[in-house]
Amino acid sequence: MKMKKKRLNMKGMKNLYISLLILTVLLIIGIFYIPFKFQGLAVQDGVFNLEVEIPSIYKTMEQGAEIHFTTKILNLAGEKRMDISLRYEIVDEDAQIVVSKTETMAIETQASFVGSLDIPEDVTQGDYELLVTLLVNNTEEAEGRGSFKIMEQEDKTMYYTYIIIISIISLALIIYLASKSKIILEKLRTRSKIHKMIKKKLGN
Amino acid sequence: MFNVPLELLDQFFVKLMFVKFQLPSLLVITPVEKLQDEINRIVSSFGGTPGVYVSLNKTQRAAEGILQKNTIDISKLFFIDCVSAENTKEDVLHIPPNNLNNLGYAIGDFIKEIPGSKFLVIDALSTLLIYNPENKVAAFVKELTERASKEGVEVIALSPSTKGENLLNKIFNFFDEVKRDENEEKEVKYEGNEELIY
Repeated sequence: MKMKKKRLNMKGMKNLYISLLILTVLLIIGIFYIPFKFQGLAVQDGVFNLEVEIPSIYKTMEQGAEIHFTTKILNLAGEKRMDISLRYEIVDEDAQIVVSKTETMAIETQASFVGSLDIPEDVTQGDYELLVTLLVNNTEEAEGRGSFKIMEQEDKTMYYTYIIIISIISLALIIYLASKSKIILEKLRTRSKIHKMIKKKLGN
Repeated sequence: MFNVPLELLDQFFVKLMFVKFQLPSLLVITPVEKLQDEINRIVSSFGGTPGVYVSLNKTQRAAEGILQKNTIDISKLFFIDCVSAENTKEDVLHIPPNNLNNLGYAIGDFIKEIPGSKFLVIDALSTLLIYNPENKVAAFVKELTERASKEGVEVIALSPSTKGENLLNKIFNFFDEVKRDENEEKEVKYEGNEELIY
């Protein structure tokens, strides 16, 4: 019985040692590997916080117009100044890129940039998305989106023609009324004087 | 039986005259040298009746002086001075002779505002031709005579008998009566086949 117990103890101790050894190895691996992994994960998921804001007046655009927007970047982990790139893209409903532009800038902890993109003349009207991608060493690190509409460019020629015609008519009317009012004023002055003359002489 | 005051009777007959009879409008064509005498005679004939004197060939001051010199009562005479450039007196209306619209309005206002019977004298009518086209003057005279006739106002227009102008020929029809100086040598003038009145 005692011998059996002793054998069991020996076997258990051996298993324990093996388990401890495996755990130690895993721990060592974990110490070196997991931070690296988490570091990568941290870069992909949220070291940079990027927000894109399109002002309301630019929410509806015309073909050929220039859209302006603000990009706010927060460098959550960064302590030192670093160079980044911002890629601006306008994509259509089919995720096709309509226009693209990249700018390079330096940031420290946070930064806010005003960007602009020229909307091509030949785009069709519809819903579009502004996609802003933050790149560090050509690696996509963060992304922000904003949506807007593109409308057909209005033909403003007729509008301007109406404005000119109305202005000319208004001017002519003003001149006519001014000349008429002069005549009326003169008439009133004469009438007033006549009334005074008659009152003075005839005592009415 | 009926004790009607004389004043009332006078007014009644005057009104009757206005209603029943249109007061005549008179065009007097006279040589230049006799123009002022005619004006004096006409104005004095109205006695103390209120009237309007449109002075086209002399200032109000000069016209007033001549009338006063001839002991003509001008206490109720209103002057429209078309000669003086600026307003010289408060109780005189100054209207440039080229402003026929305003002159017409002023005469119309006087006719409307003066109560009772009144008269209108225009001296040297043809002077208006210096400042206005002939047809415009003719239209002015036509409107004036029609207005005066409607309001029951006696209109006397005087004009020197000038040569070479068609105005008088155009306007004589607007007047009820045309008086020419009896002593004036009548010389028949023609324009084309048409005999001129003056």
